[in-house]
Amino acid sequence: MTGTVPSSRSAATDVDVRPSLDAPAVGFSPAPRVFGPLTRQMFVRYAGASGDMNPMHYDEFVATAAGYPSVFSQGMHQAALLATFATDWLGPSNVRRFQVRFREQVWPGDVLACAGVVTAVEERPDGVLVTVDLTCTRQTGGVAVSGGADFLLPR
Amino acid sequence: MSAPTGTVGTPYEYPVERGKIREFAIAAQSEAPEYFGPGAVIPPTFLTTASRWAPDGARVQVGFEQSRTLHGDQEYVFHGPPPRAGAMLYATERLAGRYEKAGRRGGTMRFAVVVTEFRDASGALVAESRATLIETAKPATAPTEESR
Repeated sequence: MTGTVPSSRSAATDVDVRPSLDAPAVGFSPAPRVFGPLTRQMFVRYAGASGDMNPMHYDEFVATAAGYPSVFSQGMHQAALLATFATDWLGPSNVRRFQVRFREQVWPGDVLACAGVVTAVEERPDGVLVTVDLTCTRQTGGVAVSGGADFLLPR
Repeated sequence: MSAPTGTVGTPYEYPVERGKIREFAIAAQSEAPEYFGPGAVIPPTFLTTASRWAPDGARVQVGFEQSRTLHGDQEYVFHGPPPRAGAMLYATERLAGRYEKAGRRGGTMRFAVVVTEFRDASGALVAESRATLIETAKPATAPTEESR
């Protein structure tokens, strides 16, 4: 597993990736996390983990016969990577909503940067509800996936 | 055959499994310890694995032509902490809505919203998945996310 984790991870982890009990302020943005370059093995691993066995994501013959230059990543794979960024930041148990919109295709060799920014902070009787905007951007600058999430942080 | 709005699929059991959570978290390149212990919590998009448990009749047929169908948007809502390994959930798909928009290059884009409710044994609503599927006006040049 460690072989698939980019080296930028460790630096980010120590600084601000783990959930903080101090509610982040509106406008706060942690260090982005970079995934990739993406490999066909990653697509296959996601296909098996998710159960989405659409061959367009791992069978070169099927993908090229359909007119694509190669296989391409599952949109839900990018969504899962963006979710990893979000839960590393605000805590896996705290998530209450996670939404994505699929925008651009992602190809083998792509490098994805996942980033987020706090857009709202609301005091609730049961904690602090933090709303964030999330984006997963390709090395071209094109947005592969955009979305948002709510996390309920315990006091 | 296109199901009308309000069509509900057959409910089905969906066991939340520790090994599947671990496999999914690794594919998502996460090392968060919360995903790897005996009481592992599910990652935010993990409920996508539920449909592999769906028997015939459980999935709503939106009736879109597959080569023109895109997965446009996906949302998960958790009505409390996300489920953990060992939980048994009961999933029900519902065709929550249909609408249309004019395509950028002419024609009509059709949209369908499929909501899956996940309840516990007491019937309490634990989580919801909301998928927006799009049938493009012309053959799609972008991926079909899932065969429907």
